[in-house]
This record gives sequence, C-alpha cells and structure tokens, in this order.
Amino acid sequence: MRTDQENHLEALIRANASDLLAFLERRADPRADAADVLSETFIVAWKKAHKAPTDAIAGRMWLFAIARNLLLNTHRSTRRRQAVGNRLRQELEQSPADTDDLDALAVREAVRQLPAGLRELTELVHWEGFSLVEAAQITGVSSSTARSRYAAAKQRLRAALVVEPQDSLS
Amino acid sequence: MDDETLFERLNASAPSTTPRGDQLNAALEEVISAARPGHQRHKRWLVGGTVLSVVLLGGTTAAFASEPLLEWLGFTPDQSLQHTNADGDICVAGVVVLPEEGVADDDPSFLAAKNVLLGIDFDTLEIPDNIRNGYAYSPEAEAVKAASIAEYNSAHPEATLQPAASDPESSMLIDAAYDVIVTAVESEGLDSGQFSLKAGGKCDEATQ
Repeated sequence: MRTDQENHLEALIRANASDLLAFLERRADPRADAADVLSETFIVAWKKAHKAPTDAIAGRMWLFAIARNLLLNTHRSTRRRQAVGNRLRQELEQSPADTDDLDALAVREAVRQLPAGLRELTELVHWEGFSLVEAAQITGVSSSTARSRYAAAKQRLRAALVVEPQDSLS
Repeated sequence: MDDETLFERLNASAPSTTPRGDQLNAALEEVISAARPGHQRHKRWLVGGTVLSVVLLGGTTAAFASEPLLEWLGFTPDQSLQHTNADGDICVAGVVVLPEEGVADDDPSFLAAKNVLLGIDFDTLEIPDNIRNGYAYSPEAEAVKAASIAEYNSAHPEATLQPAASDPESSMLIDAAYDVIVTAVESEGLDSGQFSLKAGGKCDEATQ
C-alpha cells in the first residue's frame, strides 16, 4: 500500500520532471548526460522522501536543489551511466542542434564569463524562470547575498553587452 | 541598456532543449518509474560465508546445485551459478523468482519472469557497467556498511553482528539478471511489480 508521502513525492516528481530535464539539458555536457543526472535526482529524492516538503513550490525548490548538487558532482567527476536512462539518453542525443541567433550566443557567452556564483543565479532566473528568492534557495545562499550577486551580475553584463541585439540568423 | 532590454536578451539566451513529444515523454516516464523504490524492493539477496565445504558438480542449472547448498539456502532455486573469487574460494549462489504477496502462482507476470530467469545463461551473462561501477559495489558503500555494523556492535557488545564476506560478483550477476527479467517482462506489457527475485549464496574453500 502506498503511503500519502509516496503519493505526494510521485506527484511532485511528475509535475517537475520536464522542467528538471530542461534545467539539466542546459547544463550537462554532453547534453545526453542529463538523463543520468535526472535518474539519480529521482533516486536521491526517493531516498530522502521523508524530507520532501509538502508545499508544491518548496518541493519544486527541493528537487532542483538535489539536481543542482548532483550536477556539481558530475562536473567534478565522470558520471556513472545509469542503464535506466538509456532510452532518454538516446532521445537527447538525437535532439536537433541549437538554432540560436547571434545575439543569444553573444549573451550566453557573456553569462558564461561571469564568476560561478553570479552566473548560476543569472541562469536560474533568466533561463529557468525562478524568482531571485527561489534561486537563492536552490543555490543555498541567503536572499540578501543573492540580491547583491544579481546586481553585480547585471552590472557586468551591461558592460559586456554594450552592443544592441543583432538580427537573427534563423 | 535598461533592465527591460537586458532581461529580454537574457531570457532569449537560454539554450534550447529537446522538443517534448511522445517519444521523449515515454523515455522520461521510464526514468520516473525506474526510480521508484518499488522497483528496487523486489530483489532480496542473502549472503552466507560459513566455511562449509561444498562439492561442486558444475553446471548452471538447479539440477546441479549441490545438496549442502540447497539445504543452506532453504529454498529450491530456479537457477544456480558459481565462480571462483579473488581469494580462490568457490562461490555458489541460487536464485528463484517468487510471486509477491497476494499474487497468484499462475500470474502471467510471475510466470513470464520465471521463464526469463530459466533462460538466462549465467556463464555468459554480462554485468553492465552501471551495475559493476554502481554505488552498491563501491568502496564508499562498503565503508558505510562497515561503519554501520561497527556502530551496532559497539551498542550491542553482548550480541555483535559478524557479517559474512560479501560476494560482489554473484550479487552483480543477479542484479544483471534482475534487470534482464524486468526488461523482458515489461516488454510484454506485463507488470514487473508482481514478482521478486530471491537469491542466496556462499563462498567456501573448495573441496575437489
């Protein structure tokens, strides 16, 4: 018999699975590795099911924080491939190449040049659509620290992106 | 550049993601389903290590499993396997598919699982990298287990746990077999939660 806690976590995972995958796709290199990290994210979430927040928004933050931490570990060491993610990995490998315009590429490069703490907040806010408070929660910093970092990031980006948006290639 | 323009440019710079569609959603569903504890709950693994000499007759079917092993296991395996470990000891193990509690003996999923297990050749079964390199068989996992046992023994000096030496090779083979069974059963559209895989094994000094 499944418990309410299990049903809650199952619903939480389903509600956020696609967004978690998008988050990981944008950060995993190669992109197909997102399948492995996503699989590990869910396994870790189940192991910590008793800690899953009951609130939907807090639960979403909790899942993203797990994925983010696993991703950091991925960057430190070679990811062990999960067999269960093979099909998803294949789907991601077959994904069409980016068709981003020149301005998107230029902005992305400017973001990439930011110090890690500033970059991460900027990406969470503008790529994943989190509020600054939510991004702070996911990255484990205080709201005030996030605010000052975000202000610094904007200042640096303004300086780097003095050129107005260019025409799209596509 | 004002905030509005900067935000527009930042929002538009998000790397694209794989288009969501039926195939990707199905692959995503597989990952979600596989992570559920229920999928990992249906495997029971018992390992023993008493120094009871076992005369091995060879072969990989239950018919060749020795009587001492059968007696020790306490169940009749569908399959048995054997190998020599790094210490030169001969390790044997027995595996059986059982219906989960409340599942009938003629349940299609259970019967399909049993058939798949009977068809597995443990001599040629390959252990996938995700199992061989998985956390369960890592030094970290061994350290956690050892620390846990030490903690228990410290708190219960009157009845300490004396765990048997592990047999990772057999355990990994059985893990691999479980994955093969689950994949095959699910490919037939059947429920892989209807059965469990029970296994036991031991490593002993060989008696020729």
